[in-house]
Amino acid sequence: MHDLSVSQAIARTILKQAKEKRVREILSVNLELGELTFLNPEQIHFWLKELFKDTPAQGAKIYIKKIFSRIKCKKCEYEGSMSLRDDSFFHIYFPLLRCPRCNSTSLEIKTGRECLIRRMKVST
Amino acid sequence: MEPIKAEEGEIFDIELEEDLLRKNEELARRNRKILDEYKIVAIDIMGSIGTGKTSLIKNLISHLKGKYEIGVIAGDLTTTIDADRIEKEGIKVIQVNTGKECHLDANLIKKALKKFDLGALDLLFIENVGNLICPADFPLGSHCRMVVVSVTEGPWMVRKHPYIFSQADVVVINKIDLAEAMKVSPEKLADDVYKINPAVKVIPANCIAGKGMKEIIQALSF
Ligand SMILES: Nc1nc2c(ncn2[C@@H]2O[C@H](COP(=O)(O)OP(=O)(O)OP(=O)(O)O)[C@@H](O)[C@H]2O)c(=O)[nH]1
Ligand SMILES: [Mg+2]
Ligand SMILES: [Zn+2]
Repeated sequence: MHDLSVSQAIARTILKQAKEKRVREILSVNLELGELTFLNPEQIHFWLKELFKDTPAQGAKIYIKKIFSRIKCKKCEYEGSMSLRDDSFFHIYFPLLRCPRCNSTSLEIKTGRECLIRRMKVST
Repeated sequence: MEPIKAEEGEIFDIELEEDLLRKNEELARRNRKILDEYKIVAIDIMGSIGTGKTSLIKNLISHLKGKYEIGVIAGDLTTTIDADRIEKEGIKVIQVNTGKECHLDANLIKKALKKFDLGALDLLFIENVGNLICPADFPLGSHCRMVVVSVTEGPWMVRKHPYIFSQADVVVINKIDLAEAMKVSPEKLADDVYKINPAVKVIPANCIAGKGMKEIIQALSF
């Protein structure tokens, strides 16, 4: 839903950096998106291509890496992936918000909520 | 002396390491700190369009007014209709129009907080934009996230939007007076919510007759 506004923020950040560093051309951009966000890599890719038109990033390759979720249990210290439930009830893999070891619901989400601009490759 | 020039076409990496959602989370943490300093409890109220968020806030206010100093932040795409409705209760309301944006974010809340006399406040209700999807990505710094669904959205509402329920502390199933007419079972909706989030509190309500308000206030436990 908010892929456009997030893409605008990404493009703004990238183009500002490019201007500050007096970059002539942005060759590639590396992004990381967490699987627990509502951001859709395909839509982000589409919007960035649009937003990069007529800018130094016009020809940039856009790489988007998916970051899988990891949790830490506040009760038993379990750290690892969430259990995924392949349940026809939800029609999607839905991450279960319970510790797979002790069943506690008191969890900390360590990864999976990223919307990260990792780096860009540029030429002067 | 001959200055050293960068070679034409030099290629290098720029590390940005900038996380846009984390930025919002950091701002949310800062909002939370401000709220805690002033001993204000903030409740973020989310839900689809027209589920009864404003009606619920009005009801809660009429139960809590006098006991607590209350403020409201009303988020909406446009208009001040909801803010005007709440102001009638004699409560300070700050309206935040998000324009095209589908959710409130921590920065908007930060700005809204500046417009309150924080020292005088005990309780802050934040009505998020009517939307079951986007607010889940943008925590505001509230102490409690409440989702309001209603039976008029049909029996599949919860299953279709699992993520927002996974982030909720309290879920209100509203308009139970219409359950029979809609052929929707509030109990089944509650079961769906518990399946997604076993730690949540689910409360059936009728915001026209004021049913369920005591239970909701108890669940909010401020
Ligand atoms: N029958 C019935 N109607 C209700 C109930 N709660 C709210 N309504 C009605 O539902 C309509 C929408 O209520 P609001 O409180 O404006 O809903 P909202 O979620 O704030 O709406 P937006 O801010 O526009 O997304 C109004 O006509 C209310 O009178 C209820 O428990 N039962
Ligand atoms: Mg409203
Ligand atoms: Zn555990």
